[in-house]
Amino acid sequence: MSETAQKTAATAMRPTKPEDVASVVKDAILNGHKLDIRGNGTRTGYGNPVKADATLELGGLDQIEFYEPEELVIRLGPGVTMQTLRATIAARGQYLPFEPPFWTGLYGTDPARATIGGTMASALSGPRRLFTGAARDYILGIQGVNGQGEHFVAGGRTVKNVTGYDVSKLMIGSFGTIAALTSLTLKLWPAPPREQTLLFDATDLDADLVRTAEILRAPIAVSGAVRLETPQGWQLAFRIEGMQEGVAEHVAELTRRIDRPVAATLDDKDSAAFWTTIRELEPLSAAPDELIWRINLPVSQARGFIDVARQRGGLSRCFTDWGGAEIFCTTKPDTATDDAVSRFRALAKACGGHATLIRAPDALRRSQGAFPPASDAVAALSTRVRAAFDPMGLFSPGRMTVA
Amino acid sequence: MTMQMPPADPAIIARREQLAAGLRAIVGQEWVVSEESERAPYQCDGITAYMAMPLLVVLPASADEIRRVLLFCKENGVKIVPRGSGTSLSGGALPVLDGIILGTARLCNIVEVDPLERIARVQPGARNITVSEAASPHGLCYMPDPSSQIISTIGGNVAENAGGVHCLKYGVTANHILGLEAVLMNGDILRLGGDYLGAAEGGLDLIGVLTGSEGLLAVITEITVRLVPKPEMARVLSMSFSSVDAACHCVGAIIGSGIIPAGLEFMDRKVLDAVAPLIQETFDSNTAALLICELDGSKAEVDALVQAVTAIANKEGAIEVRASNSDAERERIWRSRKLAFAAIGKLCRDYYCTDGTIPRNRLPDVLAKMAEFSKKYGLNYANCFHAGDGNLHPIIMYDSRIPGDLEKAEEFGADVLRTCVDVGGVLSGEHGIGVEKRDLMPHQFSAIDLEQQQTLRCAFDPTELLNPGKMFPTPCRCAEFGRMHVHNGQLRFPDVPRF
Amino acid sequence: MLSHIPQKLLANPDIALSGDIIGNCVHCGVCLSHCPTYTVIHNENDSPRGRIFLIKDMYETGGAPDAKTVEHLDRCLTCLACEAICPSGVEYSKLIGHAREYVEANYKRSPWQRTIRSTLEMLLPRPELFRLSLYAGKLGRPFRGLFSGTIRAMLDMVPKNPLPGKGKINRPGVYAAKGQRKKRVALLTGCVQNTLDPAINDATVRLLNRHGVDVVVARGAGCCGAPAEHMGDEDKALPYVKANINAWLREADSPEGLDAIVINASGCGTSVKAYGHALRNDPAWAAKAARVSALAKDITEFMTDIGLSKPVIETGQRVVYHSACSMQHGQRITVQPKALLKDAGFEVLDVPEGYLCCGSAGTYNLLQPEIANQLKDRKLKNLKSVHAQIAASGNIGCITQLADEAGIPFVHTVELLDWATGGPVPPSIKGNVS
Repeated sequence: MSETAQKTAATAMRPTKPEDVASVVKDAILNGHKLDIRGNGTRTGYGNPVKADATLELGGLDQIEFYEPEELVIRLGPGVTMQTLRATIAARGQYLPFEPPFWTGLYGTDPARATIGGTMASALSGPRRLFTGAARDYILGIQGVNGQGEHFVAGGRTVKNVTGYDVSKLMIGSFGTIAALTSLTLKLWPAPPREQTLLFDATDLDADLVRTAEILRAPIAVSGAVRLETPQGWQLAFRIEGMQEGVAEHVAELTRRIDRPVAATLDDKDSAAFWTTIRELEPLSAAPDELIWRINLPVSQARGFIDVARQRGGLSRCFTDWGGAEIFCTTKPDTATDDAVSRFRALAKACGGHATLIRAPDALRRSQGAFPPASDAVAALSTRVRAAFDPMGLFSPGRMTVA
Repeated sequence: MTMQMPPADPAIIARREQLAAGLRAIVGQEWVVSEESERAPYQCDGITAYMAMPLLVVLPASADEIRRVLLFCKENGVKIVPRGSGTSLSGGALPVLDGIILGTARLCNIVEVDPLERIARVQPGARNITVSEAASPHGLCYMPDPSSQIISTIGGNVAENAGGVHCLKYGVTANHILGLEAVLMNGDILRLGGDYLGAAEGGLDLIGVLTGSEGLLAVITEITVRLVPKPEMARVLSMSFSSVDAACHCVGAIIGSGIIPAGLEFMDRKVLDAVAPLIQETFDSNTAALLICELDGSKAEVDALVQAVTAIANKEGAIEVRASNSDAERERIWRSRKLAFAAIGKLCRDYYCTDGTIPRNRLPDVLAKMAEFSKKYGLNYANCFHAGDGNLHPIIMYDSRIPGDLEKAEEFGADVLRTCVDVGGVLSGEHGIGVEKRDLMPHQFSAIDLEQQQTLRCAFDPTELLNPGKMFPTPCRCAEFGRMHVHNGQLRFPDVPRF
Repeated sequence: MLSHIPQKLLANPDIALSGDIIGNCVHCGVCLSHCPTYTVIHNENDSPRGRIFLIKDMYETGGAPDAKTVEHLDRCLTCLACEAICPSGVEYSKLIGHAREYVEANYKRSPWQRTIRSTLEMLLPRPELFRLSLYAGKLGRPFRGLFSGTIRAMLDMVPKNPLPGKGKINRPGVYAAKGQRKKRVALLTGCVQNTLDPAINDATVRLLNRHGVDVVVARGAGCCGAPAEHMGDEDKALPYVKANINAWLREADSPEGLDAIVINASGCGTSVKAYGHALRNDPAWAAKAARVSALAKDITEFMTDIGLSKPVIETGQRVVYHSACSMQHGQRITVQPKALLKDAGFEVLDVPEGYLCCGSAGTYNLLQPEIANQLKDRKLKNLKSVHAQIAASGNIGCITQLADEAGIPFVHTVELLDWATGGPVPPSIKGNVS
């Protein structure tokens, strides 16, 4: 293998230059080694455990190639930490609108080491996805090394680009199973100067979600809509962001349209702190031996799902995000069995949704998979798509699929 | 002009009537168009410079019929060119002589609008604007608004990842698709994502790959789009500048200040002169370029934005800044932009419009280059484009009756696109590659980049029957890819035959 | 779009003009969105863009067009929604008009088709004959199940209700203004309209007289010529056109003069406004025809100019206004009728998909009954969706096409304006609307 690729462990490679990534992959091809591709490995608990011969850590590719604030674009190595990225762009009044969570608290890892590469490869999007789109909506271009050790480029640096297939989007949420990323080009956005969060006492879940949907159909810039249990009981929280003039108007419009008094108002910093706790799933207060789930489903089915999951799925605590189209929940420790997991998934499916295991013991994720199973047609196509980039199946085998 | 296309198979053409009979058994007698006079209107899409007579035109009425048509074509080795309303500006729906046109016009229903989930589920042949019309009673709209929105179909919009004036703030088609149903050449029906916000979470982003895939991967049979609240109100600023450079700088200054307008459009003097008689307006003689800036949101918000942008424009040396004070005024200002292409069309026999995108701060350089190219080719041109996202639409004027004029116009356009790539931009912002920009792909992508995209295509359509001759300058050679073995880490640079 | 029409054909000025018009089409496809036949058939051959291609090929090939080309050109309603929305200003009306003349001159229709077409050409412009045929139709209506196609459509056109008596306004003469005379106009009484619904002309004359306008029904004026022209038979249309020009210019050149030629059927209005174009190559008639076209005004244009007097009765009914193609696309009159109805105190509603033709389109509902019925059903569904109390339109063809099944009284715009400003309750509304 290349001399410049620094060995951090007997089987872990940590290149610091894009060309070294290609060398690592070529070596793996020669040796028939499977590679576990990761950033700094802070979120390996998300997705299935990988059985590989060596680890390829991209955390060493931690340079910002360029940042042009007036162009709202940044190009950087996958190893740049989220903290560095956020601080860099915040200094110019910009942010990542999709509000990526760290989830390091869930996995007991160091948030300071969480990378943008891992964030994008895991398609992590937070509460604001409701309003501004997901991680996939902010990728403009990528560079990477495919399973034949070839360096390739896709996308570009402009916001509008329909030149060739959107391979960049394919990388988002591919968990290192398609290519080893060496560079990401992201679209940034001006951070709203003001934010305010309004809390209201909850009533019936269905009624609350219907009311929330009405609010979300109104021309109000609602960038967060959750329903959660607080020390004050179940509450609805709406976040409004924007310029000073807009926030005041939108808040007035929100309070006019909702059918109940404001229970609490959180301004700027307090509001931001509140949504950080949401983003990091703190309202779940997950015990170490509980499973953590994300359920994506139609809003109309949220109530039905929560009821049945409480009765028959071992659900312990939950909150709804994205106006009810996303439920985060914990299930009791005794649900950490193959049977219980597949039963829980069946409940979600019966409600027209699907369930992702965000945290569970390795063995369980290995046998049941962290991600909901795909249809035969989609699974077969996904396999062919991976093979198109990585014909020998070297990259993070099993990370997204169950053998 | 004859665009080089994959060689047509005379054996297929000889079997036209037999194939028509087989397809009629699937879609019904009247929905296979086989008379030559009736196939003629399908010879081209939005680019009339490229024409080819399709083998047959097939108009199915359901996803199942589409699936059976694809299987029939696979069995018979017949190529398929999917087509919505045929408005592509890159020749995306240009027929091939030995292939059918698969039109989605009959699949034009809005299947459902769900106000609770804020989605619409539509058939691929539904026109873009009908989605917003159906969503309107709920206060919602479908945001991507390509200028063809009155007629272009959602299926076509997805295939081309259509943009539009408002995508600067609200994103392109890809940002608004929650679910797709598509049929592969092997007959598999893919159901990706679904009818709610997070339906596509988990798994590979195959929706992302299909969006903008120009009909080369699968035929899309149903689409679920995200609906958003209609903006409460909007105002438009019309800002004139005495130089193109000043206008370009103003674009950067507005966005650099943290304001993202709903739309930010540029028109040069030639366009203004062409438009003026149509809108009965005169433009100050010192005006070299005009920016149109739409700002939307709540009332106080919009008023504050109008003030802020006005201040920026004045600082950047605007000669005149006018802000709309009513919807009628807003429409009037937009009218000049909306009539631009038709107005230019009256100045010349023909025009050719291309679609490169560049980093905004390179606008002055690239516009200066265009002036050079204009001299080089002796062809007049005008500029009217989406300045906010650096998406250029140079309008190159020519006369198709003069032999060689079209070729000169095409070379002019190619020079512009190469310049776009050279300054860090891309060949296409919203029109797609199609046949028009196909042969320029190697200027933006290396052989490996292109081969990687082609192997991706093989994963979807190893038969290469779907929309052949588009997007890539070379065949994909999927059969070889299927047999590919390890090259011991050797780089592979095969000599691939060009069309 | 580039065309290669042979020099021999380009010697014909109409075909040369067609070549230029085809050159203006950039094939953008916007016209497809508003085309009624494309909306219901979904085949591009039945769209303006497709027909332009067919016309281009027809001229490029020369000789007799093939049956398919003729079929698709025949299916065009000439509603001109495409021309109204075309961003490039393609004059489709001229293109299709010339193409139809070319088809009639070069294509041999089946004997059956020829019989039907010549019967219509003969009947429609002649009120008395048309009346007779309607009486015959009245007898035939119960048996219409035995017929299909055009004959069936003709029988369907016969009103279910008793045939109206002859209108008052069926003889040449002058109907004098009430009070001080402000204007003097000629009224085209129409051929079909005067037979199917004479109340419209009665209401028009009352309305105009009440507003101080002398109304002349000029001796020698009759059918506008559109029925023949719709079928591509320009030669048969021209005698009507010339008779009208002579009749009206005689009045215009009389000492009292004419301020306008008022037309209350927008289909006829489109036709009269196009006299100038139709005769532009005829040195003896070009100037006269242009003069008549310039004088021609829809009744709502004329009333907008002179201003509607205040309503004298309690109005406020929900009126859905159906804009005829010849009104909104042919003459581009879109705001005046609705504004007048609002002035008269009505609540005015639009029909969803209002740009789509109702299928009547002159003789279209008789020649293409299947498509016409699809369009009619679509229009009725849209019309009913707004839950109005009264429907109004400015064209007898549309009213005839839709009235029977609209489920609400369907009247001419002038009947409502007349009623609101002091006229009698329109017959179809009497007792039907509170």
